[in-house]
Amino acid sequence: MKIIKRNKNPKNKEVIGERQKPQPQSEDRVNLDLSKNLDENYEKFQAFLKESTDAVFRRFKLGQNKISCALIYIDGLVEKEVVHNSILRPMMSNVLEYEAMIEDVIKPEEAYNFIIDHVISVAEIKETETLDEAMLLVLSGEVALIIDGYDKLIILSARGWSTRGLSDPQSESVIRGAREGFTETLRTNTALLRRKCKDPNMVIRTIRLGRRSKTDVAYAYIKGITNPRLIEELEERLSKVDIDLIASAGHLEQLIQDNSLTPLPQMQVTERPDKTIANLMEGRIIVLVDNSPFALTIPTTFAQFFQSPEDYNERWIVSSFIRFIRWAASFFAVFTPAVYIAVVTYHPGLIPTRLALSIAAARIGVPFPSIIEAVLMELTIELLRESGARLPKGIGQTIGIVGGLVIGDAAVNAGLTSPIMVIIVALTAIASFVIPTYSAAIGLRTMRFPLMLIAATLGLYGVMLAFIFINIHLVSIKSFGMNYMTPQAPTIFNDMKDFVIRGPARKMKKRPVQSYPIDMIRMDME
Amino acid sequence: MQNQQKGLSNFQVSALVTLSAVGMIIISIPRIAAEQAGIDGALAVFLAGILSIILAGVIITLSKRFPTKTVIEYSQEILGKLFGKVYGIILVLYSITVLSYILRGFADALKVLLLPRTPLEITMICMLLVILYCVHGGISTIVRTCEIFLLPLLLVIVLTIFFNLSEVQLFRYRSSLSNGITPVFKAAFGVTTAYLGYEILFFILPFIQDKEKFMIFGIRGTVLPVLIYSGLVFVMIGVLGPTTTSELVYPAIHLARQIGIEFIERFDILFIIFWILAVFTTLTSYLYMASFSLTRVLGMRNYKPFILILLPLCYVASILPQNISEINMIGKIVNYVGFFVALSSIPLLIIAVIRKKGGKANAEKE
Repeated sequence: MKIIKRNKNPKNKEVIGERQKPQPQSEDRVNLDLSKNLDENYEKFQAFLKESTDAVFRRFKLGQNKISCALIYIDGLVEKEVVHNSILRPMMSNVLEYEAMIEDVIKPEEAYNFIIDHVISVAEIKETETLDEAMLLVLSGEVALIIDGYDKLIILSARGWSTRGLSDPQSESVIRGAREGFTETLRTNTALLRRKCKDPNMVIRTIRLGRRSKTDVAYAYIKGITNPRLIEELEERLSKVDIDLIASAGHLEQLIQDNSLTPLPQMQVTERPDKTIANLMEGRIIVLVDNSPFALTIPTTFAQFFQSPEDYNERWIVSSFIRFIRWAASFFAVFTPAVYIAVVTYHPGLIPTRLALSIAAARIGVPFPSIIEAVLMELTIELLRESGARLPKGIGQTIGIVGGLVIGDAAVNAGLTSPIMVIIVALTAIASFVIPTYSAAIGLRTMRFPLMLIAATLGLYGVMLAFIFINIHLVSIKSFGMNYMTPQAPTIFNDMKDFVIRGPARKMKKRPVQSYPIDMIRMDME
Repeated sequence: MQNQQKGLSNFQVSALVTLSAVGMIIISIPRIAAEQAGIDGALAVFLAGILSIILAGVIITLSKRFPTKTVIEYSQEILGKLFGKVYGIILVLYSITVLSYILRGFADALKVLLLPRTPLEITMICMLLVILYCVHGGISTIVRTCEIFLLPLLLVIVLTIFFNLSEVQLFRYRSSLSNGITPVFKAAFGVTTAYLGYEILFFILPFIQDKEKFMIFGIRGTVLPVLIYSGLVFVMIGVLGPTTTSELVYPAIHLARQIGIEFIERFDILFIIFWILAVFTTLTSYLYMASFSLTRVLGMRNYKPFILILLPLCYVASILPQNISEINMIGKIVNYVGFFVALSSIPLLIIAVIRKKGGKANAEKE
């Protein structure tokens, strides 16, 4: 134990910390303070950006006094219309007309305020006095305006870049439910949230993460419902993130999750705004990452992976039936091949005699033991799934047909596998696609393979031990310190209304207890 | 956090106590009962159950005098440091013995019933590893696993009893109590082993959220095994008669075998599979008790390293007995020692009252 502790010596940490400190990006050392001289400021920008071809530098003179000005922006991130019509034209020609009309000139010392007050017709402007803030804003798509004689910059918002329109969420389509999903633009996503909930208590905060990427990460919660301790916990974890690039929501998820030694996700990843807003109302926090069409829900329960927004749009009896099907499906997806192997290898007495005989008859021509047969077929279906997911839609169908023929008929005829095995494999594959959350489904599917090995060595005893093991694992997982297996363990009878059964809408009067909302009452009607 | 659960909930307490008590013995309890009491087996089991409920009540009363302490700490307070430690060590040894006895009994039964060609060592080691994982998660993981397993286990046992209810031949019970009530009482002491596991009540009070309701939910947890065992023995003896029952090694399995459902040829395998759950929870709580007591006797807080020390010990202890008669002998010892461990709560309570240790007044002082 002591040896390990010595390695954790804070001194070592410092060394690592120093090595990782951000290095100056340009070879010329630049003083980051702004000066009053336009040329100096201009050159400082150039020192960083002159090698990049997408940076646009535009110098011009303002009015009859010929005050030097410069615009700096990144091509492709700004709306050219706005730059032309609302910034450049007023400053270059309208000012001259105005001066001619009032027969006066604009003095350099009042130019700054005059430009803000009368010239530029852009709604959102900011002032900044430091170069690195200006640089960051320029690189996020703002336009920087330098005016000679001032040691501060005007930042004009003219963001506009090509984006994808709202579309049907690909990974979570529903039959009865909204058709819009999140997109890659953070602003669009927050707007989608706002449109669904006009509560002023819904707070959307933004921070920048990623040492180099400076990705915008927004988190939303509802003041008065969400537990403040949860918000603090999230903020603390986010503040610890120190990495060059936040690639996506899924990447961030793994940086702030509780337990990485598990195939199961501890946050719900969704691209459905309706799901997100429902989660917000249950006292959870939503994390949105710029450039990622997925929202993270914190905390989450295992049961949530089996919920779909359309459950709430149908009558409760129907939805409860569907929920039950999903839970059963998850069980099938994990255990069917293992149970089949165990029963066929060790306990053929468990199945009715006739079925046992027909299984034995079907297996007569098969040269492998059932474990090899099962692993072979399960691997084939995983191959098919993976190749189908990567291929364009047109070819994907071909793969489906070819795969269906190969693992269906040809494999049986060739004597590689028995028909029963094909049924088992098909059942597991179909069952695993029933689970509405992709990441949970794939996590559960992965467990199948070790389970098959255990079943082949220890029979049903092994399957049962694995079942126990999985359950222990599930109850010990935490999602942001909250219990993953609520409402089952710890048992919360009130929340059982939205578990395997989706209770009648009028009966669900309280919010689920998992995230400990401050305000528990959801509904106040009979 | 507001209304955040800070300890074990009431339901968890009940589930833990029930599943600690319902264990390995469930498949052989009808035999033991029939051997000891003949036709009055069910009554003997029921009386033993009443006894266990009373003892559980005494343990809870004793624990409630020391709401922030487990038995290891308050026994030192009641008996003095030296005798308290001795008592703690007895508890450790007892827990290890029970654990090994159950593990061995389980592995033997599994060899006969499910996996005839798998070596004992493999079944035992696999089970121990899973238990290790569970106990390593701490008491909260243990109780949550119990919560999850309670329902399926009860379902299978109740189904077994329910489907056989129509087969019970009531005429067998005509000769009940033919020898008077005294032999039944005597037999009851021979079957107390069935309920062992409720000693966990000694340990859990400091972790419970709602300490006031410990009595109600602790007792509720002990009532359930009484119903299960008495029902099972009643049906068993009713179906097969006391003589046949006492000759079967694992009579409950035969009871389950009677059930034929269309798609499951042998219900007994299903019964065995779910019986593994019961054994697992019992073993878990004994391992927890053993490692926890050992740690506290040595005056340390973190019990997790001690699990790793105790596990090989348990394995060796369970592999040592050579044959079934040795195991049965250990079983008898466990039966009486366990009963006396539970019974020790009475003198402890009396001494505590006399020496004015614990209780509300003292708790406030602390």
